[in-house]
Amino acid sequence: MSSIDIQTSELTKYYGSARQLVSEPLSAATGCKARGSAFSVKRVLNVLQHASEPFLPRALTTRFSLDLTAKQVLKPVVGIANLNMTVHRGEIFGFCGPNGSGKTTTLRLLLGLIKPSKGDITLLGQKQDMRSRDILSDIGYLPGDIGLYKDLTGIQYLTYLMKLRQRGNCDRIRQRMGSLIDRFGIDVHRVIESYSKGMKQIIGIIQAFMHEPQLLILDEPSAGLDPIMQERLYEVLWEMREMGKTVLFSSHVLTEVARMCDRVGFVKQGELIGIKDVGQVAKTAGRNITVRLSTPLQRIPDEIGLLDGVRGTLVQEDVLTFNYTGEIKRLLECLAGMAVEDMVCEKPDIEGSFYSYYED
Amino acid sequence: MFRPDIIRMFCWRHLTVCSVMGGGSFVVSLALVALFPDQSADKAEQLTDLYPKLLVDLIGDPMEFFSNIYGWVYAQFFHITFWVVYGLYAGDLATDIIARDIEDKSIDIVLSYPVARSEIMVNRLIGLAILLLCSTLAFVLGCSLGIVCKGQDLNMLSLALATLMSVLISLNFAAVTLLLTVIVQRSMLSLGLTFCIFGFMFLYEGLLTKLIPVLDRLSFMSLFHFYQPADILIRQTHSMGDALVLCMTFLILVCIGISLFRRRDIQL
Repeated sequence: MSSIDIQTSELTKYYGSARQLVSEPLSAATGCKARGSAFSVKRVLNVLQHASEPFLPRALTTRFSLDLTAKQVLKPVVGIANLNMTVHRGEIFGFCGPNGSGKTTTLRLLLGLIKPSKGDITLLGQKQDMRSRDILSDIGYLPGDIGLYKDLTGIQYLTYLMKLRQRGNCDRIRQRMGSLIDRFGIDVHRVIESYSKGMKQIIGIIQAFMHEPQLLILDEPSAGLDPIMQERLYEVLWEMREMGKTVLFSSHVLTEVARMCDRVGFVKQGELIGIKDVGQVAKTAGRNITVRLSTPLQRIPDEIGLLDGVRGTLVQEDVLTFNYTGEIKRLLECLAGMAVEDMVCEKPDIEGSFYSYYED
Repeated sequence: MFRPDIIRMFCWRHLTVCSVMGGGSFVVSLALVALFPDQSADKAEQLTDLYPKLLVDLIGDPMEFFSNIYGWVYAQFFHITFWVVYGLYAGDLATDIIARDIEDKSIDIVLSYPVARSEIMVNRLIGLAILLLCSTLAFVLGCSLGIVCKGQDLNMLSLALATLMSVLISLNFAAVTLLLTVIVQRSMLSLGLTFCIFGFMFLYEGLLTKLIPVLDRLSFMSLFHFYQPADILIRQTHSMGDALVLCMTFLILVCIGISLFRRRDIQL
């Protein structure tokens, strides 16, 4: 499949450049003076992440069947071209990219708010058509720039949307809506005009989730939410995934993407430039080891340099840093023969590996 | 196709404006009818002589206005005021069907629901028609009360028919605005353009066709050619054909609007 081709080639390209950086000194590895040293460290960590030791932040759900396919979408005006993408049932798929890269446009294409000039879109096994609205029964959408009826109260608005979605008996949706309102703790009896940005976002989230859709399309869902509300949103998202629902969301927050998503697609200038399996990235990330010795080092000690699974070794006076993907027991045995004063072993941040997609 | 929840919500959101329009129409119509001078035919003729011919061509025979209460009602309301005020009101409501939702971005959520775009338009238009009828009902009541208070004969049928024709012209105003909002997706621009179009059509029918005789044959190009409340109120004649044409124009404009909106991209 073409989507897999893109994924493979982009990852190869990415790791190729990463290996190149390993051999360079730290100052040269930064590559971007304007972003300062903090960013440089991220890039170095980024380089070290292609090791092979498993590191799973969370259990991944089973994926099956192709449910959402947006392929060969071409919209010259908004600059989406050759966007082939498949999101599997029951996965949380992150959609990332710089500002103006076409994330929101892609999501709006999926919902039929704008039509592609070329290509087709299949949602939940059905071909997307602007004129056919039945497919939308099983979709929940949260727009990035949310607009609500400001003259209504939160509950009036949600009740209206509930009736718009479900003709006839709405008891189940009403129950779910009530539970979400309680969960997010929002006062729905106030007029929406008096709501803060975060509260409006919560109303948007509730309306997207209240009918327990098979597919959720969320455009920057955590924007404007305080940390507690963000956590509640994540909880609801995980619950949805546990229920076998599919989530496609765009975000700029890489920590959020790394934490929440099974896979991440990167779009840049309207083109899909790569898809990463977060679990796979985590597996190959290894551990970053920092060892402080009692005496300064002139070169990399043989015990470490010859050990399998050691990569990207750097020596700075009495501090030795490297990425290790082998067994911890073996590493400790090697270090036992050295004059170690202190040692730090940490998991690298996955989101660091995503930065390269944002760079020119 | 028929979605009471959409109609109810549209009416609910515009209830305040509708109440103000209805209440205002009632008071103003009552007050203006009460000001009817009720001149004798001789005095009315003298007053008519004071009017320049151009103005008579444009607004009609002033003699009828001062001696006949229905002529007075026509001059005060149905000639210009009704279609301008209610036309703008209907046009403003029409901008709320699509354009304002696009401007404040609330359309994105609504269109992500399993409701056809045509359903949204049609049901909101029904809501618009209900609001318009409620407001004009208050106007008819105010007029009727005024006529009774002045001790004149109440011809409810003529008044109702003339109001109905005015509602039809206002609905056409709304349909043109709606069509323009689908095309330009900007509420105030659409409303302004519609007002210009109707202003031109009014002057074309009332003035240009009389100043340039060759245009008289083309007077049917203006919707006001089919809007003749003076005939209904003063001469007690009415043409069902005119009402039919206004109905058909309204339906055609709405169908074109729906057809365009179904395929229209909703821009960010």
